[in-house]
Amino acid sequence: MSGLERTLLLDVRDLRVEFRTPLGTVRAVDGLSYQLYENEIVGIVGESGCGKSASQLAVMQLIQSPPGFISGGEVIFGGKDLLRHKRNGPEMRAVRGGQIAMIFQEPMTSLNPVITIGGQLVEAVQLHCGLGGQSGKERAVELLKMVGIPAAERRVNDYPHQFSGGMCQRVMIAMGLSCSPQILIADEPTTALDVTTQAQMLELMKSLVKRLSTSLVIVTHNLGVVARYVQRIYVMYAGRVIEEGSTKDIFGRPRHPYTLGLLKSVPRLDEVQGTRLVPIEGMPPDLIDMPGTCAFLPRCPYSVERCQTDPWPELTSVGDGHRIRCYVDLESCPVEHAIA
Amino acid sequence: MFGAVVIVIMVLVAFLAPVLAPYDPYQPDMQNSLAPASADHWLGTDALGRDTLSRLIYGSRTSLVVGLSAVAAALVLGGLLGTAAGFLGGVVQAVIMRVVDTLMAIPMLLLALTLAAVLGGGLKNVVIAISISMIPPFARLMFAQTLTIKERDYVASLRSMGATRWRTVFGHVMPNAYPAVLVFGTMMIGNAILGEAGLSYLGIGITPPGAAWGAMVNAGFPYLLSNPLMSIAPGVAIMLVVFAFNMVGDGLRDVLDPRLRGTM
Repeated sequence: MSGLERTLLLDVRDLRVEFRTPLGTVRAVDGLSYQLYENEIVGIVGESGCGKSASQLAVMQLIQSPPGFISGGEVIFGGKDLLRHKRNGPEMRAVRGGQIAMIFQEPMTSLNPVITIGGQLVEAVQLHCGLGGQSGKERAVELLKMVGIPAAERRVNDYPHQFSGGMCQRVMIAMGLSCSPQILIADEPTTALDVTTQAQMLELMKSLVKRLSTSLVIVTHNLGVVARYVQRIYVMYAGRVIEEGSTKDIFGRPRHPYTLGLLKSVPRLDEVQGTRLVPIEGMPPDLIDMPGTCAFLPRCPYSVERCQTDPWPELTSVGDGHRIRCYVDLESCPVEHAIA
Repeated sequence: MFGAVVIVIMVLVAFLAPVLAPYDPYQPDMQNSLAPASADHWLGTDALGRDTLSRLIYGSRTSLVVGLSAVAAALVLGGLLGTAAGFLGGVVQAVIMRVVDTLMAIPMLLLALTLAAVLGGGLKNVVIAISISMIPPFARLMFAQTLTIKERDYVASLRSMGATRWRTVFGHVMPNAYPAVLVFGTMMIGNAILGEAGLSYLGIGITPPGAAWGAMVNAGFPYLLSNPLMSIAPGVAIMLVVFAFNMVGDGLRDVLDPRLRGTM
């Protein structure tokens, strides 16, 4: 979080994504802004349906359309607004995989079952590095070694069903990093894996992006995943960022009631035994008919009168790079806050 | 297994027809017309004295050529149409699939019959008529396959890697659709052979003196009581071959469907 010489790599401004359904327009992403700097690992955290995946797909212009539409905002990358490129045009294709790569949630189904692992890796390097034939195959073996697949020379000819889930995810990571992109977006990269494999995968990604000086965006609903690996966190709720800050700030001094609620609902090692987990009451809001007021209001235990009448506040700074979207200052509720 | 054996035999017979056939299938021999089965003519002769066995052997060529080429043409054309409709969606899908649906409403044989009647007889026209009548089912199958495959995670993952749509379709969607299309195609060969037999039986398919099983069944019809073999032999041949292709299609499905693998 320190250092003044950080270069901004990706600047997402006021991104809006909506899904036009017969029941109404769902504002999945409603004015999302976030930044990613060089050599940085950033976490985007939130419940299911808060728009975290949709926002990442929108950055890559991969939103299924219809019903999805990017209705506003800018994605500044390399001095250009990516949203101005044609969806399937050559500029956008050059960005996808070449400069910004993406890893998805389900490693087992993200690989084509009828093509060998090697064949798919060769295809990836062919697309952006122009390496075909023998040199492509050598690169594929190299990539498999890089992500720690044993006996890579032999396994390069295997089919996806001969690999375990963790190994498939390693292949996906290899494929994502095959052309040394500047940004790797990992959308729930560990959700489908068991706990021991999750840690291995995160360690692997962390060491690889460091080695290749790639920036990493980890999208997850699991706060535990991001705690150890990311430098900054954006907490999303109902399509917007409600709190952003360094990992230390978010975990040590959460200032938004929702973030606090999330942290209180996760077990901690340093907790006194017998302490109860506190769930967040209620359900995430229906994104079709959003009230003008704070979307978290119906579930918020700290709400004040102003919350009922005034519109959802803008992000306001409460410290060095630490911003929240809330009228209440949790620091002034010392008793409640102590629980966290 | 049985189906494969029958098909292998049929292919061999078709290739070796000149060697295997004891007589010239087109040479009339009026002195020997309507001969019953004997050591000289195992299945007897027809009204013009032509050897039924020889004509049966040469007829296998017609059936095989029509079956394979009609299905191949229908598979390629129908497959491309279905893929385009499924992958591109929108107006392309609406136009292609509505036309296909309309054609599906007409029974396949009736469609082939109409086409053959318009185009006229002969091997080439029979192949054209049957393959056109078979395009709709292939287009439908490929459409359905494309719709499911294009939603798979690996297609999304490919797009995120910057793959072009051509590469996605030809490199990834089609190879994944191939087992289903292969199974269906094999079964359709039987249908195509049956279709050709039907057309020839009705006299608008392979024209005399060409040897075709359907035409032979028809030619033997007036002599069904005196010389039943003339109709029954080609009839049994049609039945066996169609049955064989269906069996092989079933077998292929079991082999290609990984979920059924190991349960057989």
